[in-house]
Amino acid sequence: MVKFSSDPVSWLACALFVLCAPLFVGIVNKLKARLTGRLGPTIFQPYYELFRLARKETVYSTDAGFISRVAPGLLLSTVVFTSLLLPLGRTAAISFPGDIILFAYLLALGRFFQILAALDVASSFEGMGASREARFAVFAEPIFFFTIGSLAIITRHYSFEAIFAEISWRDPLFVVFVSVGLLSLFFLTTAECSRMPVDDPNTHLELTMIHEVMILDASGSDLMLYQYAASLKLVLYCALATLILNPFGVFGPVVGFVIFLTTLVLLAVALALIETVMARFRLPLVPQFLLFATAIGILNILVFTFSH
Amino acid sequence: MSRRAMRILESVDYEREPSLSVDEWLSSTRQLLIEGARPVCVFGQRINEDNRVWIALTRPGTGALWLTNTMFAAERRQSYAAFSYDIACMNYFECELYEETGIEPDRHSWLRPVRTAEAWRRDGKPYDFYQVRGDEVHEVGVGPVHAGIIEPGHFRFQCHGEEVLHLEIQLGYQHRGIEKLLPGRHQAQQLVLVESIAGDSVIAHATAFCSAIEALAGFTPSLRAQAVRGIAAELERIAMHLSTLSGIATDIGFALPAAAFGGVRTAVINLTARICGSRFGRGWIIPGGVRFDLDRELTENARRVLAGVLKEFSEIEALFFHASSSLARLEETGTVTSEQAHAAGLVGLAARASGVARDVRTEFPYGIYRYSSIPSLTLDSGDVYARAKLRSLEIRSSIQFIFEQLENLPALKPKGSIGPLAKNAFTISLVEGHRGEVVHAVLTNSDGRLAQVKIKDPSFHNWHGLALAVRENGISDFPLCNKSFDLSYAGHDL
Repeated sequence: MVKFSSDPVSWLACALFVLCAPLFVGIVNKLKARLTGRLGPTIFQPYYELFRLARKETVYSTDAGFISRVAPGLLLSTVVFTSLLLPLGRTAAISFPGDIILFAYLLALGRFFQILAALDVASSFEGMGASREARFAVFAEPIFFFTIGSLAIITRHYSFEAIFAEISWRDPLFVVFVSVGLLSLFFLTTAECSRMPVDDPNTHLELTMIHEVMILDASGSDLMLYQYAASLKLVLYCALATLILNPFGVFGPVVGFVIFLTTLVLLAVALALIETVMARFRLPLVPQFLLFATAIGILNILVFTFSH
Repeated sequence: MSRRAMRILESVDYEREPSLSVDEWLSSTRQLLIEGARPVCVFGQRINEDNRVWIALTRPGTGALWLTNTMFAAERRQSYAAFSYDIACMNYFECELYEETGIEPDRHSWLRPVRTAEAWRRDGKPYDFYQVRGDEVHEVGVGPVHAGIIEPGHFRFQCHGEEVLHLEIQLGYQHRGIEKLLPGRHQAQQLVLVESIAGDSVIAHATAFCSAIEALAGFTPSLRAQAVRGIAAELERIAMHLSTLSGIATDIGFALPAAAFGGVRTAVINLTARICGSRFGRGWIIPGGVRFDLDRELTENARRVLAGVLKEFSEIEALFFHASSSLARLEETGTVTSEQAHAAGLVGLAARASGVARDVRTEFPYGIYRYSSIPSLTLDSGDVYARAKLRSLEIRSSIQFIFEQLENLPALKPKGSIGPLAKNAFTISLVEGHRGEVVHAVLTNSDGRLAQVKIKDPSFHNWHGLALAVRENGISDFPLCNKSFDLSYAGHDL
């Protein structure tokens, strides 16, 4: 049964979440700048960028068909919709058993359209980027299912809201499950959101890009939508990793909210640190890295099986 | 006499030099090439309608050159049997000679435009890129307009999936015709032109040009001038090597060393600016010596700055070359074997990183390097790691060299005035820039004025090295390979 939350706070939390997404990217960029000894732009810079892009004219390649025109909007709307499934606050805005699968495949749908749009403009770069994105997505998918799926098996619930509500810090087993889940979701975040060490969001080199190269031909408000979707997706995955700790359930709404925010900032620090202190992987190594993250997810199931 | 031995910076009266017949020229030059001589400079001297082709080759182990020349008369068919048929390092020189003089190499395996691809197309000589065919082979064209702030150049990849099978590089987008602009200008204008051949090799090109002018005037700059030129050259080397290391770190997404190497580089170029007023050394080197000397205060300042640079550099270097994530990217990426480097005639740092010791400072010591030697370092692996590591080793030895020079700067005048240039004279000047061998061949006419200049930046040789390096590598590693060579587009295009 699909359950629409009657609590206005859940809807409000979602709206706030969607609006604050670029801020998260701003914080990561600022941290990264400070870590490399630079002042860096303000944490609100991503908003300025989005406004600047929104005001600009959108130019389409002569080879572009209707896919290029609909993809940005579709992508953003899938990401916005998935954020409704996360229990930000006590309850999720929309929840039903199996919404974890909807979550995964809504994002996959958005990605599918982005890949199509990249192929649509018939550029050799974007074709290459699309091929990389599709290839790595294959390896990233099991990470999500083995991590969230293992928690679903453990808790015998199939919606985010119910799964996270079951997580308790008193059970030592859950400490294992949660830390394993946090780690593998963090790996998933770097892969899904094109962060280091999988992809370098700052590079200007078309030949090495994965995500950025797919939107090379996008401009103006289309590019704005793509970038907004990318920042929302990043904070979405980070929030997913944070919610595994079940801060709202364990600590109540106020302390839970503080812990939620603190964990998000810590994840931003982790992202910025990784981008500062290590080099990016060679492309052929990325699938190995993703399989490693999947293996961590499988660990949960093993621990659960043998402890019962 | 079929060939002539020539010292570098020797002033030769070309009117008195006998010309060989084309056949003699072919056989004696080919003989030298087979014996292991390496082409340094090839150009056609325009004499009315005829072309006199000069080839300067290294004379291995002697610190001197071999010179051969022949006359291609306008009424005869202007062609010869290509050397590059079996001697690969002549390939690009023959293309350049063809483009500049129209003298055609027969049986040439890969006659292609060097700088004027557009003109070739206009003249109805369309040039097709080499193509690989197959179901899963695809072609990627990059540039000439790039996503970053870099110079224009076109790269055509033949790929199988992510693997590069072949790369062809087409340049010439920055062709300004510097060689044609130089004669007939005032000396001050010539210097400005020479300094803009490649904006990051100002000191190397200015030193090469000024040395040639001095040689033609029979002037020897004072020992102090030579020492200051040496300091200038090594400062340029340090700054550019740091810049490249920063670029390599950026390309592998390693933000900390990228920022830190860049920060250290700023200290070095600011030192250059403190001495001569330009961070890239513009206006420092002039015919007759150097325009800006180092007084006691500057010497002290230089020593202090460089000591700080060395300390900070050591820390970043340790981080960069010890991080397993960066080693995983650098090692075994973009390998050029020493056989390839030899055959392709690579020069400078790219050659030394593949185990081929080519360094003008030790092969053909000039200026201050005749009195204080600097070690010529080589590494064997030929990969991106070797090219990066070698830069860091060279930074250290350059800093050491500058310390030594600062210790005992001879108390002499830093500049003198040179007299008129010799008439009908010809000289070749070789300088080791941070990329490698910078060559200026300068000719005067019967009035003792500049008649022709042939310039060769090391990039001319080494772009082909990059094409070899990326074969069988992932296309996503191309930018990294490119940065490890860090070649000049403008220097190639002239």
